[in-house]
Formats: sequence, structure tokens, C-alpha cells
Amino acid sequence: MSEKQYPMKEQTYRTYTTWAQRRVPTTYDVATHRTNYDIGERYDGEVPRLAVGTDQALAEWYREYREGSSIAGEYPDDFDSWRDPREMTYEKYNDLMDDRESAIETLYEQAEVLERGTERSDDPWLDFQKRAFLPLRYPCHGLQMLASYLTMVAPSSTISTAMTLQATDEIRRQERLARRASQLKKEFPERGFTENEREIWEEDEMWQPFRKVIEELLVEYDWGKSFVGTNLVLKPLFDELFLAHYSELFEANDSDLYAQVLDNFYLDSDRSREIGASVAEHLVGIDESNGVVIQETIDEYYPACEDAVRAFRPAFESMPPETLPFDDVMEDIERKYDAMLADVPVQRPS
Amino acid sequence: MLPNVRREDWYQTATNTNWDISYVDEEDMYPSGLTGQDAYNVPEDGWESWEETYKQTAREYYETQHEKDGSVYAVSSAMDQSGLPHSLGMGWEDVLKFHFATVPLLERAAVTSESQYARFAPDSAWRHMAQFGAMDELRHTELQLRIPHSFVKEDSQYDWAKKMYHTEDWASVAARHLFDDFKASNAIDSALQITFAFETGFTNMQFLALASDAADVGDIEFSEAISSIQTDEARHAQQGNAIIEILDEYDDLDRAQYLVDKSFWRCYKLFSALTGPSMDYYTPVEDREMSWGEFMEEWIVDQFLENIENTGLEKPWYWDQFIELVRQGGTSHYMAGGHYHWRPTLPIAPPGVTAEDREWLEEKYPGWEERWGEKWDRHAKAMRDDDLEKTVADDLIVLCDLCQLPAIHADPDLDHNRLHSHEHDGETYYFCSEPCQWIFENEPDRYADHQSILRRFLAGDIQPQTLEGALEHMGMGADNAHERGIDFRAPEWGDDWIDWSPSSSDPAGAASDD
Repeated sequence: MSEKQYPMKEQTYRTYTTWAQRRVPTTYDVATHRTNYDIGERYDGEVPRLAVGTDQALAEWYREYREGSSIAGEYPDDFDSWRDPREMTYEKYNDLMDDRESAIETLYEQAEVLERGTERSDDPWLDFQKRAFLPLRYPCHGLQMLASYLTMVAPSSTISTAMTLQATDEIRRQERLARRASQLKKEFPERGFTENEREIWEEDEMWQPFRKVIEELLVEYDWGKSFVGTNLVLKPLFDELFLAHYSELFEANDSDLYAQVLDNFYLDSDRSREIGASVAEHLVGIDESNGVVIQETIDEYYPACEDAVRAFRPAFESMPPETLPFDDVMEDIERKYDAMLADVPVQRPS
Repeated sequence: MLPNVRREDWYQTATNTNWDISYVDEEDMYPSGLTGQDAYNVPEDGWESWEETYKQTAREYYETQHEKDGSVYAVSSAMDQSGLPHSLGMGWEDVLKFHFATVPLLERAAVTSESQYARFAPDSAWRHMAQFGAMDELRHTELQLRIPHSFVKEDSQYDWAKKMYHTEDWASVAARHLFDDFKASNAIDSALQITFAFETGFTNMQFLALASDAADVGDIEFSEAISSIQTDEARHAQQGNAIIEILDEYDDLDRAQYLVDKSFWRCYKLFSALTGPSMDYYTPVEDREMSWGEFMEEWIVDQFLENIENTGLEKPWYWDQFIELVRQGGTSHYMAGGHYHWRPTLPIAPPGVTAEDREWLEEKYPGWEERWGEKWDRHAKAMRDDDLEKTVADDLIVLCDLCQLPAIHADPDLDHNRLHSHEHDGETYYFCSEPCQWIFENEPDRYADHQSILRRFLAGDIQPQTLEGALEHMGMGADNAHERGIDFRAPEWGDDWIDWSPSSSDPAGAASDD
């Protein structure tokens, strides 16, 4: 046994050996592929691969809701092979989001310098924002919790990473919305801005269908159903309504600046939709029966989410000074939804 | 244009987004096994006063983190053609290999834990903060997988940066046992152990103390990367203090005290096994800034005491024996010897100690020569006799059923360092120390099922029942034989000791506890 040779320097690798594909891995693959060591079997065949007694709460949780999910697939290879189509790494994400947030600041600076009339302050418009817009920070928190949960239970580190970034998208909205509520409070101290939104979220009938479906999804613990309910149903509809179409409402009501802020948030939403469709396509590729589970989950949550969207008809047709026809909004939301599902063998329930 | 508002005007509005659940059952929404509220006596709305000291917004986060990554990756790409780290010698490479093998995937496990808090912690401001913690840990995973990735082209042992925790190597088993123990808990218990004991207590050692050694050695890339990482730890580690403040307010610190005592000890054991030898044995002697023991006293002991004093907690009950152990560095010396003797089980190349090493070790740890010198003399003699096999173990040893490290402690002459054992359900469990036994006895059902490598061997789960079979089980089988540890100084270093007079004349007798 001669140790002079340094065998570790004689026989080397071109990349990490956990990467079995022929393709050279990208930076994204290096950073995100197979990084969750608790996914898969222990040496003794137990799942998950956690070094604690199998009856501990977290181990039981994973057994029931991750490995026990209604989504079929072999751990870890079937799920590990999903890649984020945008190859979003942490580094790339912060770079991108720094740009997006800087863009918002530039919008504010421009508005200030050019002294544009960026805000109208008539009663109906202020009431609209208080009742139909600013409570949004609560459901944004709900969406953050959903994405954080999916980070925790996703069946691969690649899906998990995409969900971590999505959770942070929700946080930036939540913060900007709170900031706007505080600005309105400073300008109009008597109107209850920042103080009344929780009560509106908890009790106003317009918000209740949304709150109900968010709470129901938060206790939908099966990872696959939680993912489908969040990224293929709730979030695409929610973002389309509150970002894309509220942006039109803000524009119609001479609030160009915030219309652009909402457009800026919508850029994040585009990524989440693409991830939703891409994961769904991947799951069907693993096993056709997954298509059935996805369809059933869509069928389960879509009607409630659609009702939740429809509850906002007054926000378009009667509350703001300048209104927009809600039927057009609904039609556009459905069209975008169908486009999202174009490559996935599932459908919007009729 | 609406008036400008300062962060302090809106931050709480942003983070205080708790609402009363009414469409589903509260217990379904926040199951006690994952949130932990039932384990504490804080009333439900008590958690709503949760507040971290240093706040950061998403806007600030993106900007700062973008800049930080920019600096780290700029240094990293500037070093591309520098020949680093291979030009710094295999001793320093051992430090890197050990670090990269053990750290990045534990960081990824922490993403899971932070995300658990971001979903199940009992207050929205905490959940908000924890999401940035999850992001930080994602950064650390990415950074510490990207840097060593290019090194695998020069040295296959760096492959373990991605691979280690997917194997059943003993170091993987020991580190997972610790981290999974912390992680497989409710959000409150988990955060007390991970953010207070592990991060506030120990990451300074891995990231700042090691960064200082790296700077001395000239490994600019590594030094820049890990000191940048520590700036994130400092922020999200605040969660622990914020929790303890609330528990203190409701006079409910008993469980926190238990968890901190338990997790601080567990961290000490693991870091002694992994970081201690890196600092005292693998960093080239001329570049060692301080010893592991000195770093421990300055960076961990003093700061931990200060942290403890700032809360309503008390020093752990085992403090006196802990301090004695820190001064002697016993676990670290024992493990360095163990790494050497069982080197085929590790993806590093641990060297035999040189004359300079021994002088340095004796100076830093008076009595080292008497306690440990003879073991190295014996290895040196085998080297001179051209009997290299004799320096490599061909057996397994008793492992602690809690920390999974060898169950023979630094100094068997001291009573509290002897092998401890405990009966549970008709089975005898062995422990390296009183605190490890105490941890096990507090929650035997939590730990009793886990099979140490030795238990797997004895139960016949490892086949064939030879060292070769054990290596195969650990991911170091025949196909990976080139990744096994070797003594990169062998056999010449044995010549250093031709004229050395060992303090003990009976090297055979010293073999028993090795």
C-alpha cells in the first residue's frame, strides 16, 4: 500500500458525481440539484432519511404528506430531474429582484421630480383602496406561508428552491403594500388606513371567499395537492386579478405610478406560473396517473377560487370612480389561465 | 404624490399580518407538533409581541445580498487561474475538504427548518423574519457548493461537498444525528436549538475563526466567502433571542434551558470532531493564528456566556467539565488521532504530525506530549519500519449512542470521562460523556431507535463484516477507493522521529484506547 501517489488527485471528476446525466451541469444544477439529504430512504429502508426515531412529528409528517402524497413517483430521481426553466439561483434571483425594486424607486423619484399628479384623493378612490386593495397584505402573507410550506415538503431540492424564492416574492408585495397603507395614513390620518385592513380581511364579505380558500389550502398538506392548489389555481387567478387587472384599474383612476408598481410585481408572477405549468408537465411525465390527481385538485379548488375572484366584481364596477367591466376582466383571466395550462394535459373545469 | 414614510413607520404594519382563522380548525392550521405552542405556557397572543432587534426589508435584503454575492463571486472568479487552493498544500486542503463536506448540505437542511418557522411559527413577524433566514441558508448552500465544484477536477475528495450527507459515512451519520435532532422538532424547539445554540453559539467558529486562518494561509477566496456568510448568520440567528425574551416574560424558561443545554453540548462535540482537528492539525502550523481551545475560549465560551447573561437563562449544568475539556481540547486531539488512524473512512488526507506541530501543540495544550505524543511515536515507528498498514485501523470502536462519535473520551483517567452506559428497555446504550447520557435519558424514545455504525455492524446490516464492508457501507467502497483518506506526508514523516525519545516506553500499552 503505497500512499505516495495521491490517488485522489490522479482519478478526478469533471463534476459532482451526484450528477449522473451526460449533459454538463450548469451553475443552477450545481447549486440546487440533490441538496436535500432527507429525501429518500435510510440505509434500513425507512423514509424519510432522518436520523431520529421514526415516530417523531416531522418524520411522520413527511411520511404522510411527502412520500405519502397522492402524486406518484420514485424518490429521489423522478422528482430531482425537474429543473426550473429559468434556472433561478439565489444569486440570479437577488440580482433580478434588486433591479425590480430599484425600478420601483426610480418610478417614485420620477414622479416626485416631474410632480405628476400620481394620486387622486377623492373619497370613492380612497375607500376603494382601503376596502378592496390594502387588505391584500394578509393574503400575501398566506401565499408566503403556502410557498414556505412547499419549500419544506417539496419532493426535490429543485422544486423546494423555486418555492423559497416564490415565498420571498410574496414578502416584497406584503412590504410594499404596508408601506403604501402607511403613506395613505400619513396623508389621510382620519381614515383608518393600516388599522382597518385586518378587520376588512377577516369580515368584509368581498374578501371572505378568498380567505376561505386560502385557509383551506393552508391545511391541504399533501405536497402535490398543495402545490397544484397554490401554483396552478389560487396564485395564477389571484395574481391576474390583483396585479394585472388592478393595474388597469389604477391606471383608469389616474394612479399611473401604482399601476406600474403592480406591473412590476406581476413580473414575479410570470415566473411562478411558468414553474406551476412546468412542474405539472413533469409530474405527468413521471406517471400519467398524476395527470388525474392534478385535474382532480384543480377541480377541487378552481370553483372556490373562481368564486373568490367573482366576489371582486364591485371592486371593478361600483367602488372606484372610474370603473371597468368585470366580465371582460373575468374573460381575460380565464384566457390567461387556459394559456398557462396549454402544455399540460389538464383543463379548467367548465 | 403621497408623503414619504420611514421604515420604522411601516415595518410593523408589514410584518403584523396575523389573522383569526375561521374557516378551518385552528389546530389543523397550526398543528402543535409543528408549531410547539402546546409545549410552552405562553398564551396565544403572547407570541404576537415577537420582535427582532435588527430589521431588514425585502428591498434592503435584495440590495445587500446582491452586493455581497457580487463581491464573493468576483473574488472567486479572480482566483480562477491562481492555482488555489491546491497550491496551498494538502494540509490546508484538508481544512477545505472537511468544511465543504460537512457544511453546505447542513445549510440546506436549515432552509427546511427556517421554512418550517416561516409557515408554522406562532407569530407573523417571526414567520416573516424566518423567510429571510431560509433565503440566507439557500445562499450558503449555493455558495459553498459552487466554490468547491471546480476543485473536483483536481481532487476527487471535494466530491464529498455534494455527496457526504447522501452517504452513511460516520461523519455524515454524526452530523445528521445532531442536525436532524434539532430539526425534527416543533418550530419553537427547533429555532432555540438551531438559531440560539448552533448559530449564535458556534457559527462564529466555523465562519469567522476559520476565515482568519484562511486569510493567514492566503486562501482569499475561502476567507471572503465564509466571512460573508457569517454576516447573514448574525442577522437570522436573532430569532433565538427573540423567542427567549417572550418565554422569559411568561416565566417559562425551563424547556428552553433544557434545549439550550442539550444543543450547546451537542454542537461542542461535533465541532470538536470536525473543526478542532482542522485548526490544530491541518492548518499549516506557521499559519495557525490561535488554537482550537483558544478560539473556543474567546469566540464561543465568552460570547456564549454573554448571550446567556443577556437572557434569563443560566449556564449549562455541565459547565465546569465543559471548560476543562475546552482547555485540554481533548475531544479534538482524540478525533485528530482517530481521523488519522481511520483515515480511509474520510475524504481528507490527514497528515502525521511534524516536530513543529508537536512543539506547537505542547505550547498550546501543556501536557499534550505526555497524553498524545506516544500515539504518534508509534505511528512514526511503523512508518520507519515500512509497516504503513499498522498505522491504519482494521477494526471498529465503541461509538456513543448519542453523538455517534467514539465513546472513549479525551482522558480516561478522569472519572467523568469514562465510558458511560445506560439500560433502556433491556438494551445497553453507551455514551462518551455524562452530558450525552443525560440527553439520551431525557428522551430515550427519541434516540433509542437510531443505529450507530457499530450497531449496524454488530447487527449484520453491514456485509461483509469486515473493515472493507464497513467502508462500502460508508460510501468508501472499492469504486471510491481513490477518495479514501491517506497520510499525504507518509512515509517520510516517520523519519522526523528517529531521534525522538517518547515519554512512554511502552507504546503497545497505549494502543488499547486508540
